[in-house]
Amino acid sequence: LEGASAMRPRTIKKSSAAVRDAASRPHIVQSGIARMSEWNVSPGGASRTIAVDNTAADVARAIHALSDADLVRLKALARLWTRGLPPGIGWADVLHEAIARALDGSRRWPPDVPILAFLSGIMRSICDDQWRRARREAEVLVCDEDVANRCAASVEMKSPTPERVVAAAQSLAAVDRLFAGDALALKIIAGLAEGLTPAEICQQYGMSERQYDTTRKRMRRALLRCGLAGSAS
Amino acid sequence: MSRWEPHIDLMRLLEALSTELAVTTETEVLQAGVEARWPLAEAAREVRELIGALNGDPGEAEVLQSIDRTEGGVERENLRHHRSVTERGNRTCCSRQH
Repeated sequence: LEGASAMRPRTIKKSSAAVRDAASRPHIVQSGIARMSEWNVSPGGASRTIAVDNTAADVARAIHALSDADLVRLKALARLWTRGLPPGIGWADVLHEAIARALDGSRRWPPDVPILAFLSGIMRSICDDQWRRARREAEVLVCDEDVANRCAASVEMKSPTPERVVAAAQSLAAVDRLFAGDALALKIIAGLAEGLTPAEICQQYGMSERQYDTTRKRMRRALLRCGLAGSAS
Repeated sequence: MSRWEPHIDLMRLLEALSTELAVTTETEVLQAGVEARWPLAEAAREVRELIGALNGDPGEAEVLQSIDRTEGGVERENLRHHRSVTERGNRTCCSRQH
């Protein structure tokens, strides 16, 4: 896969003593929630506190501390994001790459972001990277070197490839099938795909807040079941 | 009438659903395990093995040790050594895919 994000938050590397200190407080990562790391500096004698990103060591500890339930969530997330990838890439591939990027520091774990949300964000960017890569490969195949360079430079500006459009339409249909038989869930799916907020979905489909919340819970369990049993739909 | 852009719809949907998944409760996970008749421990083991494979061994403990021992460039060097680049189906052939 290509390199990760272009814009990374500024980070300050913690000392090994701070890393050891973090290790002596395992309860911090056992919650699965990233803590706000702090670094005390004293410019001109005045002490101030700067919030810094969590380090790769923090990521490793947090991953190590994930419970069985967290790991199941992680697998379900990987299976979900696989739906946004080009065909032929499995959930294990995307999860493997996401953890590798988190561990080698090519993606920084911001403070106050839960570890699962962080890894999910990496998986999302892997989807985009993979489609960019697929497009580049397709274009390079038909271009000479100079043209290929121009193609690569303009990749970001172009509309999606027909392959991506078809794959996305198929994935949307697969998500619909996952919730087939649950009319309210299908309405929420349609609303989320349109980018509507929960309030807008309720308003547009005449759904009460309670119906929305109950349906959301059913949807979560369906996604978890899918992640667990790994049905293809 | 605007043009349908399924790739944008899909990414918006996946974003929203992933947020839902990330905040599921322990009870919901257990309930889903019962409903799916699939042992949670087995799914968790699968993911643990995958994480362990990143380190080239069955456990993650060594990753933690290597990070605790080292710092800065050395830390990154160790992890870079273990990092693998995802190719299409890279792990698909050796991991059970559902």
